[in-house]
Amino acid sequence: MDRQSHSPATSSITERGSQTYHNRVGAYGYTPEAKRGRYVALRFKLLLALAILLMLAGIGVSLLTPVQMGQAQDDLTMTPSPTPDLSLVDLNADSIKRATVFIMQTYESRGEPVISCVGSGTLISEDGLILTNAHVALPSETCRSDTLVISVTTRLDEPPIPTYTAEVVDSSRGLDLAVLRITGYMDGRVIEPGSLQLPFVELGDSSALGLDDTITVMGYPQFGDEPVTATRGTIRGLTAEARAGDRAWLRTGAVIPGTMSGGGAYDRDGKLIGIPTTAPGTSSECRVIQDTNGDGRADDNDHCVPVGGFITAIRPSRLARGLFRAATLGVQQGENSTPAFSAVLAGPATFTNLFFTTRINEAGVPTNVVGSVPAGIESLYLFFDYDNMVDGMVYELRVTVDDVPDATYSLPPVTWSGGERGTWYIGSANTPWRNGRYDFRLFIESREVGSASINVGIGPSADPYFSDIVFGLLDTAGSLVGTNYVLPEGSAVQARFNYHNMTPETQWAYIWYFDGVELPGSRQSETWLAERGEQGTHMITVTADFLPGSYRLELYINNALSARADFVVAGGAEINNAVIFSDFRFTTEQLDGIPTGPIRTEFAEGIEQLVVFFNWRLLAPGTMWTRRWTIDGEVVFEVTEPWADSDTGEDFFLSLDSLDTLPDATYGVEISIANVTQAAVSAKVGLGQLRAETFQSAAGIIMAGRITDAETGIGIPGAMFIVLDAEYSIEDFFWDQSMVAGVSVADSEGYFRVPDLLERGTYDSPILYSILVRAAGYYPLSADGIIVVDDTASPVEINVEMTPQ
Amino acid sequence: MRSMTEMIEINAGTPLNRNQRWNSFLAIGMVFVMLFFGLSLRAGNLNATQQFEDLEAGVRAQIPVGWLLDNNSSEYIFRVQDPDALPFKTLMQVSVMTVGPDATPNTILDILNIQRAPRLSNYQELSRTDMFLRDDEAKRMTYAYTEFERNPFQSSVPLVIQGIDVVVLRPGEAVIITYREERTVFEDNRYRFENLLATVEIF
Repeated sequence: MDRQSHSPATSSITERGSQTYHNRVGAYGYTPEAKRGRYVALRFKLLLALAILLMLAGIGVSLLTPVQMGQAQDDLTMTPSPTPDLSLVDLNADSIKRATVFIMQTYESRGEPVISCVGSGTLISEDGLILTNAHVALPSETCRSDTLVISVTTRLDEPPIPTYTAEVVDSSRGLDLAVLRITGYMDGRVIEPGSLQLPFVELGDSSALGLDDTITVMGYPQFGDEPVTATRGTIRGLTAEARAGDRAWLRTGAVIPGTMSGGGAYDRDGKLIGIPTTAPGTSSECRVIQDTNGDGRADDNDHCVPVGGFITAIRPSRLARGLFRAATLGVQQGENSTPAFSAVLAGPATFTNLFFTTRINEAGVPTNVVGSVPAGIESLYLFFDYDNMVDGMVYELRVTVDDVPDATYSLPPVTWSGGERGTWYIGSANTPWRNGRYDFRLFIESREVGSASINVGIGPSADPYFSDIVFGLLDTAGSLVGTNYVLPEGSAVQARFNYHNMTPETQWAYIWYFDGVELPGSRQSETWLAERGEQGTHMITVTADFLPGSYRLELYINNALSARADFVVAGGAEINNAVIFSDFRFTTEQLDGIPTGPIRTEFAEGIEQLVVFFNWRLLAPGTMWTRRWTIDGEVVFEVTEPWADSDTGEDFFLSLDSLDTLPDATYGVEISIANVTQAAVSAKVGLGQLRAETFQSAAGIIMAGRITDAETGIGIPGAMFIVLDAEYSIEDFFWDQSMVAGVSVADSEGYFRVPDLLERGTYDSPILYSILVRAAGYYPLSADGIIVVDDTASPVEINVEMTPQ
Repeated sequence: MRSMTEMIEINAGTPLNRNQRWNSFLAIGMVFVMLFFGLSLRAGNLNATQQFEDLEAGVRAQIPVGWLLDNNSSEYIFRVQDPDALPFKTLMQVSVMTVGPDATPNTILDILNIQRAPRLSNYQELSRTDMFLRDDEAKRMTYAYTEFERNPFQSSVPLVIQGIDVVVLRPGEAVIITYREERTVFEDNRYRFENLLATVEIF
């Protein structure tokens, strides 16, 4: 920092006056003549009077002078805060801890608030958006709730203090993620939108993390009666799950208490890369805090708050990105043609047809079925069919290797996110699988529902097998065209697959299924023909009346499943492809399912709603379909559910609402079936892209410190600390708020903390800030040239001693 | 030091004549005159004002020099705060509210009360009186609430703040002139608000 030193203005002027006086006496004081002496004495009095006058004027001027421009003061010291003791390169533990909040679900009983459940959360925006687990924020059977209380850490070595109330903006019970917004103070006063300036963290790139990378997990280890805690660990595994991909869960060996569920996991740059998550209702410990039944005693008959258990699974922040962006932009899913799907369960939840595969293609289809695998594999998935599930149910995978439980390949109890029925997989990719016998056991709500075993490390197998099934239509030349997993309605379907190690006379068979039921007459058993050779590609055709719906083909060798693939028949054929959705139209209003606003693809800024209409054909009710809303290419909402309308129709609509007006951007709608995109359309609003400043950056430095009385050392409550915008110096400042980068008023102990993040410069192009400190009864202070570069430690601590007037 | 000693000896042994005495009186008198002038100048500067003008909003007023001016908000035309004031930063602001043709100053004050009650802690209206603002009928309301540090990471003791709103109607909108100050110095500094009221022009 370029610091200059200068005494307070008054001192400087007084010294100059004194010095002047002394020099003049020296010039005239040596004459022996009385007359001359009297004259000199008179001159002396006049000069004395003048000097006093100058002193008084000096005092007056100094009292009036707002500040000595462009000069730093002696009483101002600036010290960067020490590097956090976390050994993480850029992790700013102080800021992250302050951005970590404690969340309590409470309800009113007999006129008193009762705490039902607790967890942690993280501030992800300055104006009070909080990312946490859905089960930490949403009411449930075990977590009765009518108010969400947010406690913040005001002093890092003390427990959090209940400060705010919050509301759920959006949530996903399946992903167990929720975004909350702070809306009020504890005494019921509302918070004006945009008025908060809280510390927050930025979402990082969770997909960049690899095995053995160091992470730091922040949260509250107990019932909010201990300070926020940082726990270090490494990434020990990556768990794959259907729909979320190969990084559905990050696994860590860090010991994370259960109440830190919903907190934050950070990479070495201090970016939020995950949310430590444990399933609701799995805590081993429950604390009775209050007399909730009013019998005068707080005992086992009262509500207890679950606080125990440990967390080993972390939801990647990538999966929360859509929730965060939608909440920041103030957009939400609006009314649709059909209400949100709600499953009517026909029986107990089941997992059936378990098998292993080592590869999954882009459509999410297993390319092979394996019973054992050679050494050195890095990907293994367990596939199964599920039925009667509900998002938010708790399921678990326990894996033993040679009868020893192994946490790396297991998945602790987590929430289900796959909907009511379908096909699911769980496994680990890009993770070394050591040799041994692996036993997989699946649980739903602690009830074992399926198991399967596989050997890893056997030698290369010479057993015959099939793989890579794809479906299509046969063209006039006898070739397979339109290979896909979504086929148009028709009377014949071709399946092509690869075969390996096949020998003549090997018995093989195939079976076709429609909506889980074997197609009559579709089961065929054959003997492998010698002319096909050991390996190659084979094609089978089935002729049937392929109605819209979900189909499956299973291939067997010697009565053992060797390959399996699902496909959907929907829509009409257009150049060998299935066309299901058509005639997309964007508008701004609808009434009873009829577009009533202008239909176009470009809209002026300021619209409150965007509605997209489309027609569809030959889509069987119950077929799983996925719809996504994107804003500037980023998915903000994604819903997969069974089609709940008729199989053909017009004017199906989806809508996107805003809390105020839709921000300028390009809004897109994507529809896919069986992981294959069927339609993608977009419309522009306003400029057609989000404004650059839409998403806040947590990058930057904070200025904080203490303003004290230079004589007593006591803090000066109410002293004002002003940081000017980097383009202005003290000399330029004329007390206009637009020239101010940040302001803080010292608290009752003289501590201040400028809430605004100040931009960093670089070594080549540093940013220089100017500051002013003002308090009645003290000489004003100022300084120019506080340099902030890219590695300036934050917070920059500035301690100011003010001299009383 | 030697020269200083000699000079004092000379002065002590020589009586002053009339001119010298008058000169001494004159010098002392000048000191008092200049002191008075300096203090007046100081007082004048401390209370110095500068003109604020917003032609679009139609507001002109004299505001204190050296106060932090904010006129970039949609909530008010301008707001000035005394950066030196302790512990509460004395605040004066002028804002406008779009109103219907049947609105009266009383209804505007009611709306302000409704808006503030959930936002300001212990908000309470103290009085409501009629007044004239440059020949326009106006309503003056005093109120109080407790102010606390909004930043939860700083500790503070709540302050009792007293405020005044003066509401004057003009076609289609109400102009609200506000003064807020910590209760113990509310009356001492109210003259600044009276100065603002005396100089504010709404056109």
